[in-house]
Amino acid sequence: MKKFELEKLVEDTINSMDGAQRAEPAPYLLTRINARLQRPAYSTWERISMILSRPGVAIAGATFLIIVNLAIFLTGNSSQDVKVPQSSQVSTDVYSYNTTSALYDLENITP
Amino acid sequence: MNQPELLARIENRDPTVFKDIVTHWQAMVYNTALSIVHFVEDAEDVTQEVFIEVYEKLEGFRGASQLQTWIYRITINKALDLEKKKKRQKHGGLLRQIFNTTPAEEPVNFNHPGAVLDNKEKAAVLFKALGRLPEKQRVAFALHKIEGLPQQEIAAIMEISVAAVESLMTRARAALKNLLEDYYQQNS
Repeated sequence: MKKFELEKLVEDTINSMDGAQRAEPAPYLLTRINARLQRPAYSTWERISMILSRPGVAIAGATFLIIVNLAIFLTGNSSQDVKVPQSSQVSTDVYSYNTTSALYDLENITP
Repeated sequence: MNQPELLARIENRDPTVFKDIVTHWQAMVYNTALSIVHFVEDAEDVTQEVFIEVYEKLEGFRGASQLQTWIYRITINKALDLEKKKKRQKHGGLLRQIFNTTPAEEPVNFNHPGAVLDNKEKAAVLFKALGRLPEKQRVAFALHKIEGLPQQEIAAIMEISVAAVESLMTRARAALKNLLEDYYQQNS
């Protein structure tokens, strides 16, 4: 294509909407707008639940909870070797518990 | 429509004023929305949203600007919002948009229903190229070339100076020229 032909084509394309008519919306626009206006407004809780039920928000929320749980779990594990004070240790002797139970003593089968 | 008379009717809570506003400006709103969103269904949704906002904010309208300018402004904001929302959904989320891992989106083929029959094909090429322009250039071009508005009114709608509109138009034309030249060289 020659240069002046190309320039003319480009110019014609840029001006191709000159003299165009306005596009008309579908009929009954006002009826549809009125119907939308009469639709009851959402309450605050409905709006909140609508936001929370969006996939993006739900996934982000779930990921956040998992991360928080993991963080708590990992920090909890590292602080498990905390020593209990001596005075609070309770000896089983105090209560004189018999640690062996006859019920579960398989060698002693006599009643 | 006579603005002082309209304002008086709004102030007096005339129940027929909203109907008159919709009847008078529906084609303008729809046409502007269509030249931005390029889909008939989306343009209809935008038109409805625009008039719902007009209805909700009409009582607060004090005539600081022309009612038409105000409606144009709402239309452009709604149309651009919808377009951004659709792009976000199409690109599959904010993260991908931030890291820009997807190639630039190919604009769709759009045939404007109001285009003159002889120019339909060229108009479709024009809209495809328009889809690649930056937002402000696209809006300024659409308002001037499709809506036929003077630069003063475009400046009022976009809340910028007339010189800025002129600059946007010049840049839009230059960008379109480059895009169209490339297109026709590749398709000849």
